[in-house]
Amino acid sequence: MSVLSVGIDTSTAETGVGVVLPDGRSLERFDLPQPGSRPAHSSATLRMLKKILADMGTGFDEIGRVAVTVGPGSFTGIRIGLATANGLALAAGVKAQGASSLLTLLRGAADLSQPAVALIDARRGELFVATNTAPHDRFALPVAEQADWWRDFPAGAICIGDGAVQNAEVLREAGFTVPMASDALHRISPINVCLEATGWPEDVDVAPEYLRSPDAIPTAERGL
Amino acid sequence: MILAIETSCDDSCAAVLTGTGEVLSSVVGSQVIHDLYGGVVPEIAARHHLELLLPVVERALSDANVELEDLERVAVTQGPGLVGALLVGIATAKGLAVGLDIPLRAVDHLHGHVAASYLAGVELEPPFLCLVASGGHTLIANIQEPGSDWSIVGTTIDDAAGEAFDKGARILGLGYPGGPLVEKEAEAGDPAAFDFPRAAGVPGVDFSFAGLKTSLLYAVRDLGEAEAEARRADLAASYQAAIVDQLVERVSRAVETTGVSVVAFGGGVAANSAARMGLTEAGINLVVPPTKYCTDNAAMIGRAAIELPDLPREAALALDAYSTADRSAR
Ligand SMILES: Nc1ncnc2c1ncn2[C@@H]1O[C@H](COP(=O)(O)OP(=O)(O)OP(=O)(O)O)[C@@H](O)[C@H]1O
Ligand SMILES: [Mg+2]
Repeated sequence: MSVLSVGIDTSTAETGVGVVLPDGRSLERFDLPQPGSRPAHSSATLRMLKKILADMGTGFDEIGRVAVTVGPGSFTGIRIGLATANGLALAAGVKAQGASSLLTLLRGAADLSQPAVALIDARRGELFVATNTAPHDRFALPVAEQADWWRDFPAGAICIGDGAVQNAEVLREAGFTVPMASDALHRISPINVCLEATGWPEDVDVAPEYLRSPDAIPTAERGL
Repeated sequence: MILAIETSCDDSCAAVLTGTGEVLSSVVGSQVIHDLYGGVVPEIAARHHLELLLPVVERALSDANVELEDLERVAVTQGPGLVGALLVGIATAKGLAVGLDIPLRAVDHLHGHVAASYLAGVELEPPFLCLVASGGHTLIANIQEPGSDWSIVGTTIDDAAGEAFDKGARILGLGYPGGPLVEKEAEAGDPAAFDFPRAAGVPGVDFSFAGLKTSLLYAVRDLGEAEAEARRADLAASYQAAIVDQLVERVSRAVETTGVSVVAFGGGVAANSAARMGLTEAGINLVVPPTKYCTDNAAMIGRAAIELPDLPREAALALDAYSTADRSAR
């Protein structure tokens, strides 16, 4: 990459920000909310970016490319990430580029010989899922309804992401590998966001991948 | 040159103003989709802001014939409103401001509605009162000096006046948004046909519209479906008259108790001609901005920002939204 790239991920409770310099040097940092407190997406993202840029001896005016996870994940988080990326990109005279949060996770496991399954907490008894054997098939999986919700995962797969950490016990019992909660494989790396987003088509506005519709029902369908 | 962004409810707005508060452009991207749901759905509003805001900002810049490099600061609505919606505007504004290395100003949405008074095209200087009657708020502010330093002398204890219009419209089967539809229906009706309450039990300059809405509900039920439909214009006219009378009475009292005689009128309800006429006929010295600056818009946010300080850099980077409930607690 010949320009300074910024990578942003706010699709889970964590806030991840990274910078890749034209010479290949890179740095990424994460903010993890304390248990029970709200994600710091809105207040932390740009502060972290400022710090990283300063630590690398550069500044906002050098930004030439902005990459961001488009989801699936936290609806509000995704929007904060995309809106922040849009603002930064507009100032830089470019368009923000998007990357799937699930595919970015899988990219982190690309060097392993095992098949990998990325799982992101979707709340309300669901997980967002993708496997590296069929990366284009990304979906919301209801886990509360069936005991063997993992049955279609590739045998012997390694399961990564915050959804895997939450369900580690069940998954390990079913024969899957789940790294320790602190393992970097569970994290969406903002540097990998930069790499994953290179596939985003030029001149296409970033758009969220929600994988789920809002709960509201039109008046006409409510029979009012 | 200042770029202002407003996303507190269901309109994605951007405007460009000069440093002295002259509006060069004001773009409102309305989300008509909420009509289908009979009201604003927060999650849907937030989704649409993300889609609409960037094109709206770009449009505001091109309408004003202004390049990004010409911008000296960015202003954004911080609250009160739908937090998910506000956060889209805030994140975009912050990203743009730090990317351009220019300062950011955080504006209170209500201060914006008050500041819209300065866009009325008439000479207006404090002290003046401002009646803000919108979908989420109804209050009378006392503006003693230029700046954000103003006090609230009266406010609604339950529903907002715009909300009363919206709920009334729903009860009458008119649709959403209710204000313009009730006003239109009322044109052919008799405002004295039904005697709806005017919150006589609420003293001073506070408002109450919840009882009014219930009375309309009962009136419609008592009339029966066919009769209520036949007399819909009378119901709408009488309902609107009850809202207008209450606004007029409270504003007249506020003028009396504060001794301030000029009253600016902002918020979506200021688009209502019966309300404007009622206030004028009561002898109020009324200043009403053009309708486009009464409902949500970013020009009023930019105008309010003129009177505010720049946020310190760290505070700008960390800026977060506040909801209506948060605001009351501040
Ligand atoms: N002609 C009209 N007569 C009466 N009410 C009207 C008219 N036009 C608009 N309104 C009302 O104004 C409200 C919308 O105004 P506005 O956009 O200022 O409010 P909001 O942004 O929804 O709320 P807030 O500003 O408090 O967050 C709606 O409730 C609408 O019914
Ligand atoms: Mg408003």
